Amino acid sequence: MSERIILHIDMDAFFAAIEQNDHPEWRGKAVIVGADPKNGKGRGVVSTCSYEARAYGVRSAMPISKAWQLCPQAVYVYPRGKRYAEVSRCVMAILDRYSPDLEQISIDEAFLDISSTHKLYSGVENMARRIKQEIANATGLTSSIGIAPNKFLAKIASDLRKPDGLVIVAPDAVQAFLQPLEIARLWGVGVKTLPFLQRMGIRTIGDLARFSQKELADRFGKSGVHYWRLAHGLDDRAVRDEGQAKSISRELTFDKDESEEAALRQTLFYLCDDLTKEMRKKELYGRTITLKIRLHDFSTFTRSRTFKQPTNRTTLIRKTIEELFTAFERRNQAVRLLGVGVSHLEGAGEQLQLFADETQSADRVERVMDQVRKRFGDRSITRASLLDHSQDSQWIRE
Amino acid sequence: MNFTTSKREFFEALQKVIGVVPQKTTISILTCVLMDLDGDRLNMTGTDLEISITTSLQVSGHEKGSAAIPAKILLEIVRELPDVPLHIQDDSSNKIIIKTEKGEYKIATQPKEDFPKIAVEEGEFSFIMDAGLLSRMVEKTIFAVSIDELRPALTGINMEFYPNEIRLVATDGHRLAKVSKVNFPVKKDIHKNLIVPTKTMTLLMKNPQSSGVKIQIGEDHIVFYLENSVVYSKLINGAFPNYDRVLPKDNDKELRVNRDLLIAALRRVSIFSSSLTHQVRLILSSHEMTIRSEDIEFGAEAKEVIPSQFSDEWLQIGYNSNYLMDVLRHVDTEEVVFELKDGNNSAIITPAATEEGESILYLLMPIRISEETAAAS
Repeated sequence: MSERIILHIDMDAFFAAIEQNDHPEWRGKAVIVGADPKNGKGRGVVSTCSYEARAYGVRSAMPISKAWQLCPQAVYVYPRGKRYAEVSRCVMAILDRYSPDLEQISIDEAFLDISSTHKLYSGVENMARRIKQEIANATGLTSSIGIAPNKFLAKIASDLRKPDGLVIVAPDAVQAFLQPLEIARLWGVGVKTLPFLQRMGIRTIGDLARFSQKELADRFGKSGVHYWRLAHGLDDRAVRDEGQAKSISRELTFDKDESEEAALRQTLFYLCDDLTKEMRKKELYGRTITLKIRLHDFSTFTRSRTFKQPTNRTTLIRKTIEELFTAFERRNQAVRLLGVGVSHLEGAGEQLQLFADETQSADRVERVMDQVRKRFGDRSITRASLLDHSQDSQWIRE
Repeated sequence: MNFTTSKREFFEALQKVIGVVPQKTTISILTCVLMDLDGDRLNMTGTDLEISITTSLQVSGHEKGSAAIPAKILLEIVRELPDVPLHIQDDSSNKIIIKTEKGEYKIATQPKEDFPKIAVEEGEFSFIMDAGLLSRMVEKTIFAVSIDELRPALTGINMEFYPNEIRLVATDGHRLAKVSKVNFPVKKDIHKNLIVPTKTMTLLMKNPQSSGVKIQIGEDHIVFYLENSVVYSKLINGAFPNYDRVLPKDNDKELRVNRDLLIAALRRVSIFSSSLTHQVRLILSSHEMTIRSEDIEFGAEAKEVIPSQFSDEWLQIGYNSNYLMDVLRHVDTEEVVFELKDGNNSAIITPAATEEGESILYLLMPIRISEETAAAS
């Protein structure tokens, strides 16, 4: 197949929009979905907030106490996971009708490869409008769509005109589209790299594209090659149908920072139990077990180990988490949050493939990448370093 | 163009070509059939640019000529007419007129020059195949093709030619059907495979033949010369997967079971399976098998026990019941043979006996069964 056409769709302020939809009296108001603010003393984070709340500077993943300072008058709602999952399923079922190649990357976000199916809808723009309309009719929610020759560009495009946006990047318009964008939009560029790039006089993606691949590789190693490719709009990742969740996790924020070793271990045990119970209920098995630790100063660390065979056994997962925790050099610092997660999930009831090995290795890399990106943010990892996933433990600093 | 024909013969011919006329297209000429009258012979052609079919019938011709007529309205009116003689002619205003004793129907035609010319190039080689054998081999494989347009090579039937053998293979990645016929002279030193679109094969199946079919193979096309029709088809580009590699070599357990008993039990038990996975479990022991299914969501479950012979003590394996029934329906013998390894690897399914020179083999991948369900039974 020659020219690919990838569609990225992102629901606008998904959880908050559902709440406003289900509670008409909240429409037009600042709605913050997240932890209990406890009058400004709450310790969790904002999950999603409505556009009205964003006007006050409230953002996703912001500590709920900060949100309280910015916008105490907002409607604070505890997340209703079941309801959101239900709406998400409805949205994904609609998307699934438009192309068999659907990759759901989170509850409110998905990629669709429409390279061949867009012809059925007389063009990409018509198709995108139909999708948005159909979702709006079924759920009452708005969404933003980006369409481009690859996933990287499509994801940027969907974010440009939020909410209710539609941005189409034609193959011959890629350079014009990318060049003026801020360098921070480049996938893989985060707080660490940004100052370096700025010192090099790089403000926009266009600035970066003027450097040769070699210059960037010399300065940033493998990441440099990756930046160069992205700055030229190159991204050949395929859209894959994962069919199910990629990871499952449990985490807990302590009411007060905890430094007591025994209490921490006990919490981990509890989290492991709870997690494996859920896995068995859903008939899920996973190969990668991850421990997440957030210290009192918000620095966050993860440690993981990958097994050849998938498992959902409590004993094995507990033992692994305990070993990872023991190996972590905490130096008696107090812990704010602990989490355990299992990824590389496989389900019972999965139809096995005859030609599995032809796609599996590529599939595995994809899955690792998506999983890590989703968990730790776009800037945490590059494709090249992921190819080295044979090592059984890796850590990424947020 | 001016000719007289019987409704029945004309309608039959029209039905043969209508299968290829695209339902939706942006190229309006493709919604037409091209009629071409030469003496008493009327040729009718339909095409979607990938596949073309030309069928000819004997009419009583009065004036030669040709016209491109919108297929849908033509088929609809001819279908509704009683079996009476039809007089069909074109007039000077680019219309075609169908006259019966009582009625007169006019259809605006499209410029016949626009109708795509099908250039049948010289073929590389050709051979004659018994029509019954061809349709049998297609019928035994076509159900396993993929409908996934993103894997085009799997959306057709792979035809392989060897000096003394012809082989048809289809797969969608979950199951595979392979039928071959040896002692079938194709061509000296030939070693070639090509992928024929499913639509082409479906068209062939709709045109049952009584005699031999001449098959001509070209670089990028295949032509089937049927009794009164010629089917021309482009081939699918792409590499058919190397299926030899996935044919299991170490399936050391054998299961023998009555085909009809198993189908009947599956039809009942599968009603209780999850509508998503259609999963059924076969629990095999030496003299009987239990077929179970459960739909946890609706709290429904079913089981049935039927006699069978298994060469090992115990094995449990899960399948998509639709896939399994598809395979069983294409096994002709009373008894069907499964060669198995374990619950995570493909089964080889074959009829208990085959005709001389023929070999039929199906591969089916299982559904992974959870450890807990496995332990519970």
